[in-house]
Amino acid sequence: MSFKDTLRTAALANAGLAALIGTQWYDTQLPQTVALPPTGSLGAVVVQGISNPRMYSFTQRMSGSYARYQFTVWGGQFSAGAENRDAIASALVQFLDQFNAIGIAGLSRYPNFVVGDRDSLFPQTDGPIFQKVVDAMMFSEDPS
Amino acid sequence: MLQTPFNSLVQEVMPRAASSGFFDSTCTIQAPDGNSGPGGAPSGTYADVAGLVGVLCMDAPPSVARVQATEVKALAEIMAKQMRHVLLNGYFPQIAAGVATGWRAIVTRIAGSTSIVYDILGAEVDSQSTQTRLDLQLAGV
Repeated sequence: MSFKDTLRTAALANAGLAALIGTQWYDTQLPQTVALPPTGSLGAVVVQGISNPRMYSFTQRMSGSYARYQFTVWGGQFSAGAENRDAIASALVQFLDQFNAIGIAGLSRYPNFVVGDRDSLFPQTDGPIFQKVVDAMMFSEDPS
Repeated sequence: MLQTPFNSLVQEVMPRAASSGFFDSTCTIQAPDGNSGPGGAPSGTYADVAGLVGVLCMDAPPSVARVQATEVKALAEIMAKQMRHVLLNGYFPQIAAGVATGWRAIVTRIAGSTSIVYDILGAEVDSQSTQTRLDLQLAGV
């Protein structure tokens, strides 16, 4: 199972996120079939890997790395969409606090650090879709 | 001297077109309420504009020369646009000004298909004050 597989499985099992996005968690590109508010009731999250520099000693590659991932939150249109965007982004940050990619159970928080949190929007017909772009550095054990 | 007969003929164009059955759709223009939500985003609430409800219209593509190919596949999303050229049965100069304030158009086939909400990209009236043309767009991911 790849790192993104693990990440998606954990995200969809997170009650806070699941209540806001259902299963609308996607890899790199938002599918055309997603109905965002006000057409649909749920937002979406799209994950894109930005960089994943490995760590090395002189003689070997380490088993862990800090990878940068970008989460684009699609909230929806109008005021409800903007509120939805903020709620999803908040739930995402809380999820990242608890997402265990290092295989050590029981920590109070895990080494996933949000390093960027930027508002954005996507032009639509009668009102833009409100977005939030969240960047995180995520430490994981031997990510693919 | 010949102006009066010509004027009369021009004024008959739209009524004759309407009675012929070419206007097989209706168009309703809506305006945003101007209110904002708690964070400052538009409320998304629209209301019909008086006098611009259920106006008979012809809903057509902007050109019959070729099928529009507007789908753009980008890294993060796929966006498609649908453009329409809609002829309203009447003279409605107020729409051009309303475009700047976010008015939108809902076009419905009288035959019973679903209504579609479009963004109004432009509106213009003819020189004889008999008709109004709308350039509409539906964009979505």
